[in-house]
Amino acid sequence: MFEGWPPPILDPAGPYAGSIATLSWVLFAMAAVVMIVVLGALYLALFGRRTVQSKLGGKTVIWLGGVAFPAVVLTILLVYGLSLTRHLSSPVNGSELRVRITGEMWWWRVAYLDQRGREVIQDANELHIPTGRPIVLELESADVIHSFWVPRLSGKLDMIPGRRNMLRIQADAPGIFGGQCAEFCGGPHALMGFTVIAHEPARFARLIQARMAREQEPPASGVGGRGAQLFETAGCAACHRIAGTGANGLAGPDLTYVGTRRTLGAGILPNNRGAMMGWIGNSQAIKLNNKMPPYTVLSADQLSELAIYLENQK
Amino acid sequence: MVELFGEVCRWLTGQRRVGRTETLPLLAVARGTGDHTSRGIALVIERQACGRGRSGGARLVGQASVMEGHGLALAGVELLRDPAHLLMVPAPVGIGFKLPFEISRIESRQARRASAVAPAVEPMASKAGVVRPCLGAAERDDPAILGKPVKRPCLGRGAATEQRRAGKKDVNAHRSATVKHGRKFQYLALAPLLLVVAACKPPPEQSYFMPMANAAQGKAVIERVGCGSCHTIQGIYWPQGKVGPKLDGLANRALIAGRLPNRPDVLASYIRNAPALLPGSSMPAMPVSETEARDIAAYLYQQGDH
Repeated sequence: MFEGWPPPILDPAGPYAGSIATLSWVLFAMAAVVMIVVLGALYLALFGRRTVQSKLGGKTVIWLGGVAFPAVVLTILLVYGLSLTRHLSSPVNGSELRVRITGEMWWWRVAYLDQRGREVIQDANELHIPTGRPIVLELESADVIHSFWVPRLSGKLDMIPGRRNMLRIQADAPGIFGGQCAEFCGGPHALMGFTVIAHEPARFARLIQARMAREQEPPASGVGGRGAQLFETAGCAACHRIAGTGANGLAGPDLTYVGTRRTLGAGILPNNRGAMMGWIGNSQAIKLNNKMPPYTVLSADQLSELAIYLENQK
Repeated sequence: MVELFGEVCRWLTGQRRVGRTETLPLLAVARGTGDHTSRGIALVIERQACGRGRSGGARLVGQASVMEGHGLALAGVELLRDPAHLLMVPAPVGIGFKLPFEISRIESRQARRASAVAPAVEPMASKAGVVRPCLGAAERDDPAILGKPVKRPCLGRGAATEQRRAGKKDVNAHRSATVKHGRKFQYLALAPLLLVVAACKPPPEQSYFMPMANAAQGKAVIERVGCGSCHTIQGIYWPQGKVGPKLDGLANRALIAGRLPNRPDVLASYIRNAPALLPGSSMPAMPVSETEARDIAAYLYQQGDH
């Protein structure tokens, strides 16, 4: 009936977001009750009978209703709230899956960590997770304060330069969850989106295996083709990395798996050939002041070849 | 514009001649041409007849102001921005105004002597406090009175006295119904003004129409597929891509991508698979179904020029 209802923040898809949403609703209900009581008292104070009014202004009501009642209710609420959300900030043990997400201006660097904490798979702007288990995100920043927020999975947590914050997320069912940078980071902050894709554990395991293999071997398709050559000669390798090729730039998003992404430009464009050409051709017109220059030196054929090359990076 | 002026004059005056002493109920609008010293709108007015105890000549009879520039104003309130709006009105209408002065002479368009009238009008206008009167020309019904001055029995003082001296019993016999019955009819002339204001509408822009397609759906598809990453499209606030051409005013264009005929079916198939229609086209094939491509074409055809 209501389009856009419920909003993602009230539509939790995991236990962490669920506890936050539950606490929100409890607070809302409690506040509504208190408001009705207070309005009732106000009404009585203004229009009630004299006896009622005098009772209302008496010491008993003030001590009970003004001191005892709030103290009790708020204490209960505090204990409840803290116990409900304590799992949001419980310490990390070594067995959880960890992913390091670094906020850049204005994209997200994603690095999957192995058991020893080394970065084994590099990606950008998208995160794949298995369902049913908590994932620990190590949130860092490369430049200014960003904030990681996927409302259906968890609350916000800032990415502060010089500091590592740990955030837990968990998805209960497979799905696609959108996120957004939640701390103004200059320029196109509003165009800094994120995607979390939750898979069944078996499928997730296969995905990780495929990616680990891909990281070791050079790419099968497109080697020596026009697109690969253009990627080098146009200078893309200066900022972007494609595993197994000579391109090892770290200033921009990793493009090893760009063909599998749902979006381009950090969650702002669909991933199709036309949008890829438009992005490479003039990303400034789409995301003004982002750090990628417009490639107006390339012809349409060259843009097309690059786009075809990149859509095969999987 | 001047043709309309003439048309309007003819319609509302019937076959009346300008030279008669009856009042002209009509007022028409023309846009001054560049060769006149005073640009603007010319308004033929309802001539103010003299009344008992009143003198002829320039005198403030109403709160109308003369138009200047492009547009129409009444009592200083601007009503129309551009008299070209009148061109879109299906039938000529008249606009009634009363000027605070009288035009001594209305010349024919062929004679183009409107500028000769200006010197006569300007002192009267300045006397009445009108800033910049402008004049145009009118078509005439009767070439016989081409160039002849309008008879004005009301010039100067004492016209009523004159008539009384001449022994006329009814000094008001020559006057129009408006004067006889008082001023209550004088604003009837303003009624056609409402027609003009109501008839103002933007000119028809839609040259092409996409049958059985949903333009609102087309807009949603444009946003979903990301056409804005290369094109600037009206109604799509972001992104406004600069890689491909602007897609405004497609309905008025003759060619798609400068090569293909601008037909609805061609546009829809071009959107779906441009390289198939134009080998070597810059635009790649887009992941839309046929219905979606038609919806996009419908949306694009609805957008005007800017």
